[in-house]
Amino acid sequence: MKQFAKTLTLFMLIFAFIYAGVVGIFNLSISSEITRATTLKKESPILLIGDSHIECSVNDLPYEQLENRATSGEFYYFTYHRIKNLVTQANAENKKIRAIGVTFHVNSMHPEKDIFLLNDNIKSHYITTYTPIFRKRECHPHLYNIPITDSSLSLLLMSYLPQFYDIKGLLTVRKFRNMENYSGGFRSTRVKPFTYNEAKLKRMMTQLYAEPSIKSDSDSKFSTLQVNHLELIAQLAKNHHIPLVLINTPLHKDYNSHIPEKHKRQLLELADSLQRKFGAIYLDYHDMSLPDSHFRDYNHLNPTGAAVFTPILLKDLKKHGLIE
Amino acid sequence: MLFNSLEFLMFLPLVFLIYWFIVNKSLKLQNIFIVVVSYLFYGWWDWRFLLLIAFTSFCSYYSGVLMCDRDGAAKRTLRFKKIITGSNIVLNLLILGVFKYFNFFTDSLETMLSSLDISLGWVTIDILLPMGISFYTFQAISYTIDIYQKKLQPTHDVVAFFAFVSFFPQLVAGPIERATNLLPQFERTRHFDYGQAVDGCRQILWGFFKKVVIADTCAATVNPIFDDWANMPGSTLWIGAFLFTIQIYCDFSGYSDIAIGTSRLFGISLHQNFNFPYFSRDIAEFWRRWHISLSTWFRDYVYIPLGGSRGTKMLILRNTFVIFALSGLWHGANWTFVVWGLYHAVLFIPLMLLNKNRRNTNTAAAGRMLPSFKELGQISLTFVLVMIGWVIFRAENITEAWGYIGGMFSTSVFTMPTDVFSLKSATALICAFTLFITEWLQRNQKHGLSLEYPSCIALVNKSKSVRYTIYISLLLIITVYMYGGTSQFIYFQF
Repeated sequence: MKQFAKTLTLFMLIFAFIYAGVVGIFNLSISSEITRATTLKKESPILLIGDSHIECSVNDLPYEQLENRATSGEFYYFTYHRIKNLVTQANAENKKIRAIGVTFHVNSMHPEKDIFLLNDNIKSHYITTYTPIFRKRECHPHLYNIPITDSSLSLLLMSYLPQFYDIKGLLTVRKFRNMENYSGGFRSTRVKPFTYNEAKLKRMMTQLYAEPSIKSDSDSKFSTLQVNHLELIAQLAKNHHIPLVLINTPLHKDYNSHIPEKHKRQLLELADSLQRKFGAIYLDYHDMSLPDSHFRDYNHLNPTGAAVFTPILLKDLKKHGLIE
Repeated sequence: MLFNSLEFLMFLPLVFLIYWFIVNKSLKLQNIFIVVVSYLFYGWWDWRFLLLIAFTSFCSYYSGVLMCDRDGAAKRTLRFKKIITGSNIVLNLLILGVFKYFNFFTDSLETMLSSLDISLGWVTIDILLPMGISFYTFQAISYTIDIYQKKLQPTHDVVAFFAFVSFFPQLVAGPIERATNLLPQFERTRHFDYGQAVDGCRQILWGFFKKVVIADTCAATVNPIFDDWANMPGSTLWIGAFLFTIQIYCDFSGYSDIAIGTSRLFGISLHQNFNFPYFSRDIAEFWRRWHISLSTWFRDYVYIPLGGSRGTKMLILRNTFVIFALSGLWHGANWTFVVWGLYHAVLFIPLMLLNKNRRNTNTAAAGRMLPSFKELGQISLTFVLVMIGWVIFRAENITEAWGYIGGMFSTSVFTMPTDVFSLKSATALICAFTLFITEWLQRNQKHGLSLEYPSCIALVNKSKSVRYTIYISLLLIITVYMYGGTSQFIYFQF
């Protein structure tokens, strides 16, 4: 027994020593990622941020005035924290954000987003993804009101000691940001061509809008967490005197026709309320007619689409006096 | 509590230390401790089902007590013993039936009758499936049958019996242990065995590697393929089927390795549950190597009582179909599992009828490093047949299984597979390759890291530093992979 304890202890000590070394090297490499995530790349850009709709629609590479920092699947909750960090960092470096353009899309407001965001697995994914960017005390109480479940300890450890805990999670984020999901700009060489498939679209839309409360015309309800955090973003922008632009990116015509009218109506009402309360500008391109060849899928543009759409967006931003 | 959770990583050393240092003075105390921690382990998931497991244990224990005196002499008539055994079997099957199969049978009946325009208007009850119910009820059933068949004397030690049914390493996903092997181990003093404990640690490490690294990596590629199979070319469907074949093996045998290794740390020896099944040269050999504890359970308690391979060919055919169909149904309340079982019966029967089902009883390429061309062909063919079976097993329903298999054999098999060059798929394929190489080299051992017999790689036997490097590398990879999220074991649902 003593020999076993001795051998095991020795083994664990060697392991801990090597692990600490690996973590050390990893921390050095991740720190540059954190700096990158909280620093503007351009001098005084219009910051485009939000989820994959913006990420795929705007190619910021040829335009000095635009900086696309959108990330696929991002909730407004996290977008809010990222904007906060970027604004603070920009102020510290005497850079100026001309305007903030955020995703404003019917999918982004889907009621299931609430359930999704509060799901334990999703929480654990996002907490590790974003912990380098914000501190625990800044987080929404919903996310840290962790129930006693199988993964509660893991979640707590993740939130306090992410860099010692979830190397794979953080590595995935790096990979995620750098390789796969950015199809609007130059990193898009491996994107599959889009082919229209009526059956697939129907299946997808049925799934998305199958819930009776979502389908019915009465009691339509957007995601509370999404709407609340979009308002926080608007408030933040207003406090820093940065104009906020709500961008509803182009949709495939068939996809557009499947979206329940009440959702479209409600989105317009929300845009209207944000305009009134915070002076936000609403740019609506959802029914802009673009051919199949411009789409990556039914609600995301591909690089060809992004190349066509970006100048149109720029022109409209100019029209609103956000760019000289 | 999941093995691959942080809770378990804290639970295990604590239980180990208390077991060997604090409660080691008395066997009774050690057994009580085993029962308490096993109930804690199970109750961590849902404490309400502790009552169910306690009820099952008590009924099976008491049926044993009723059948024999304390000195082991038969207490009552054979008829009485038959009634007690039968009642305990019915009770356990009833529990299993209600919790696992009630909705399946009512739904199937409703569908069948609705085609005749008859509506029963039954309400489907939302029943939560207790984790591992199929494993511990089968263990409890085997105890009563063994007593009835006089293979075992009933125990009068209620604590030892409760420990036997609820022993935490194998409680939720097996191996399904027989009372003849496990119960006596709870009735005698256990001593710490250094060799067993060290090899147990190696087995746990290999189990974790298979589950956390290989199975979960494969799952990340497999799930999107199976979710969107209708839009995938045949070549991608083959990759999906191949990786699911690896995933299910690593998931389940990984659990078994962790369970067996953990038991060895407590001085308890469990039966081997997997014996490198993907190197089988025919389906009969595959079933001697895959989920051994379930196959032998069905053989001993269903197949042989039905007449086994004695009698007419029709009788043998019937018996074979019955055990394969039951073995399929055991996995879950879905027709896909039954069809999966029957598919294996169809593959098995020709071997049985030609009397060739026991021709491959040794290890493939015994005494050689590489297999012969004939062996390679046999192994590959068996692997592909098993892989097709796993498609049926993994599919949501029969239509999907049929469509998926149809897609695998369509002309699109010659197109370039979708996303195969993504980092995710490439990692999964590397994992599969690592598994095959390691397990082939270790196919004479009890598990992938065992050193019980001289390893094919002499350096591993000779050099401690080489072994330590391997173990630390594996542990590092597991640590990195482990906390991207905790995933369930596939077999928990059974």
